[in-house]
Amino acid sequence: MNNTEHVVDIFTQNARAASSTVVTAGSLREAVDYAVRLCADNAGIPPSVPGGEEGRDILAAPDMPADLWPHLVEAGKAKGVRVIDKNVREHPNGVCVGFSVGDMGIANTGTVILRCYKEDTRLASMLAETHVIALPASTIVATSYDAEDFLQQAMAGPMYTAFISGCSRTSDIERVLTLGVHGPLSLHIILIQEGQA
Amino acid sequence: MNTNTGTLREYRKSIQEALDDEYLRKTLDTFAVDYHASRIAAFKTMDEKEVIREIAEAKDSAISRMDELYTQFKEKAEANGVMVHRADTAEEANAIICAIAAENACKKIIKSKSMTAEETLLNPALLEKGIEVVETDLGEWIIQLRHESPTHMVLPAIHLSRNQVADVFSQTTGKKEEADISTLVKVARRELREKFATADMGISGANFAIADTGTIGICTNEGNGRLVTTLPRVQVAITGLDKLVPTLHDALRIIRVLSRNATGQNITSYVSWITGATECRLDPDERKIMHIVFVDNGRTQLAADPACKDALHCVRCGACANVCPVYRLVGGHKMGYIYIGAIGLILTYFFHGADKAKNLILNCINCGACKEVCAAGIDLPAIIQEIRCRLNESQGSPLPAKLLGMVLKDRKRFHTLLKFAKWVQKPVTAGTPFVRHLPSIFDVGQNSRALPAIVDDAFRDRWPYLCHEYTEGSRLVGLFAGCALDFLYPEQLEAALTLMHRKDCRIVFPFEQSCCGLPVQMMGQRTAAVATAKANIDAFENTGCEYVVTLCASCGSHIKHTYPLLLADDPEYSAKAESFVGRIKDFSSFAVDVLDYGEKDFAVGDDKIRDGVCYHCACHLCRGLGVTQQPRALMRAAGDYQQTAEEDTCCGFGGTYSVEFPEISSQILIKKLDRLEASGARYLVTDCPGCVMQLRGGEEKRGRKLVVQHMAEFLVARLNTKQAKE
Repeated sequence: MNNTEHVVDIFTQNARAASSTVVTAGSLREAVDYAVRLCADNAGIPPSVPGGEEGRDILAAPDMPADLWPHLVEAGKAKGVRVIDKNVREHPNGVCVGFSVGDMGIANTGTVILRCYKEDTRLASMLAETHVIALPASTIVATSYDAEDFLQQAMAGPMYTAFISGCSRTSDIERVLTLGVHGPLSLHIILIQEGQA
Repeated sequence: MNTNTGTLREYRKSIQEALDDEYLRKTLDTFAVDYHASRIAAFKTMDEKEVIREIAEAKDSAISRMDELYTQFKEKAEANGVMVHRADTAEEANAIICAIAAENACKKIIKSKSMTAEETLLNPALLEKGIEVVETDLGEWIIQLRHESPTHMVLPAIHLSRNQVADVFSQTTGKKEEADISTLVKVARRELREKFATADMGISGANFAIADTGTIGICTNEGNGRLVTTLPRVQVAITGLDKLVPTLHDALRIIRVLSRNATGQNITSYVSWITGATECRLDPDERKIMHIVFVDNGRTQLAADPACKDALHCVRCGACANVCPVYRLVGGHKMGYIYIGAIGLILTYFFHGADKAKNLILNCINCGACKEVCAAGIDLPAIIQEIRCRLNESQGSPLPAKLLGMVLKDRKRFHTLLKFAKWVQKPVTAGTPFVRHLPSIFDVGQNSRALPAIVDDAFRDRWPYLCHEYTEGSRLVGLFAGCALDFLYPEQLEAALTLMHRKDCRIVFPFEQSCCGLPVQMMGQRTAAVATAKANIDAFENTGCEYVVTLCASCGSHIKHTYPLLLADDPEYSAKAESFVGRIKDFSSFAVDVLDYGEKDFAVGDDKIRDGVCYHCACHLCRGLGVTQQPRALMRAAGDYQQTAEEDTCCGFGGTYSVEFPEISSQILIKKLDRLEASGARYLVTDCPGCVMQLRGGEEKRGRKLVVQHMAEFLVARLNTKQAKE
């Protein structure tokens, strides 16, 4: 196992320990298909917040690369999934799936780094019942110290940078771990390993 | 708000109520045990001591230049569109935030967790202005609905059961909510979502304020912090000046330890790094209206206070409460004002004043467990003792402390009194403090342990008759007795004499040695503590001994850690203290490291005592002196040592503490003995006469299931008598 495989392995282990679902895909396009499928599968589940019914078929993807947007719309249409890229705020009671593209991964905590200056980027990762992050496996580093240069650059001007390690959780009642408090009920990380199907 | 600020009697009464709360007791007990295991697992792959040392060093440097970091932060953040404020007092901080609300016509506020906002009592200040404030962290929301303060910095509602949460939720929603935890969490999700969506202002705290980039860092698990900082059009962060760090690296370093130390979690689900005002689509400029309020409220003054400034290293992980044997029994409402645990006792004094701290500051048993786990390496017990001194110096000492202080300044008077007490042995002296270090003799109201009496002949009275037996040997050893051994357990010292002499030691016992001074230190009597330190240093000054051996871990730990501090500024004694401290050695380490005691020295075959032996690791030995291996090696060599759970948890003695808070002390003892008896061992060994007193006294009441021995007694009874003296 080379070093890159090693950190990916550790990342996967720690992300799973933090209750994230980790899968791999050969391309971002595959990751998009995964998210659409997830949204279609979950659309029938009752929302966790009253009034959330209207967002059950919504997939919010505010940062989809332009070249993949038509594919996303198409795939959504085929599965009965509505795709939005802005005004996530109009769905305060939740959307079914939020889709983000992670900037970096940190192996020893199973963390994804996500720059989200835009309000919609943030809200897609907060108001979605299921948050899906596509993360190029090549961006994974061993520890947070290895991400310092990147973070330092991100903090050079106005920026909201998030470390995301699992979904929203609490142990505030009797110290019993419960997933899904105010944010996503679950987090799916799709590791993109280019060239591998 | 809690009720810890009345008289000491009222405080003790309220403690009894907490002790009677069975749910609380059980919850905190399970938590203490679970926490211990998860912390070990969380640090498995990290040199935690090294990271903690780095954190302490970096924090120390940061608090020495808070002003400079503040200026730098302000410049950076303002360049990125944030308005930065500095409030000298809690009231000023609240006024600034109320003004921001008024200026922006904010009527509804949502908050994520902030201890600083708790400290400034921000919520009542906002409510007074007619503004709705809703806490969104689940635990904080629960206690807000119950009109309570947090009982833990990380788990604010740890004192409540699911039934109590269901009750308060039912009152809030107006319908019966089921007492099922995942259902209750969903109630919070449901009820609070509307609050998030309609709030005009979001208030958060900040775990870090990075000066270099003007960034704040917020660690949360629930995701509420992210919604609070994103949805409303106005964003306010409130934080202490002590949260300023120079660089991102400093913050990342703290994150490595913070949640691992708090709950055993690798990292919180979310860490949000907010640099400047970010996009908000509700605003005409599509930028957030963002303010950051830095609170001083005593921090600048504390930073300039050499004896206590380390309290500002705190990263608010709450671990000092997690491991505290007192917290484990009484919970946060009795162990803090707003901040809780050991750091709470300290910050209450500095942020909220002497009056709020005067009772709390007494409620530390000085077991050192907090210091051992502190994420920022703070010597919490030492700062607590310093505050006791200051309170006594500013407000006058309570009579018992004053009397003990007076008596201990004069060794002859002290020893005369102890001998006098031998004849009295009863309540004439009850309430006078010198007996409080030997509380067993006179104390009343302690039903969980029997009390030893002062012996007819103290060790110092026997010594003139014994000394001639110990004048031969190649190694000269000084014996530091300490009061408890000298006046209660001279036979333990004699056992040690036998063991040392067997290994070619000759022994000196300087007669002018006195109490080590720990009891007066614990009671905040600084001048008496200094006087006893000097007397003991003088007593051993010209003896020429290579080692000064003590059988009392508390004396040893006090001498080692506190003498250098007490005498640091004394031109005559600072060097002498260092030399004395360098020679101090606890008996178990001395027996193994110097005298090379091992299996060969103890009875074998039919002569070997086969009954199991369990161990109580004295706080001041394992944490105070860092000795863990040698006693266990000795027990394995001389007997059948059986390891038990929580060997290093306090026995509840704590010297003067067991007299000040007998209810707590005896509850800790009961739990300790329950665990030890369950091992099925016949012998219980420890390295401190205070622990012997506590444990033996407890066993006396419980029918002597365990034979409690000092290590020296234990070893001497198991010597291989067939083997010639070396």
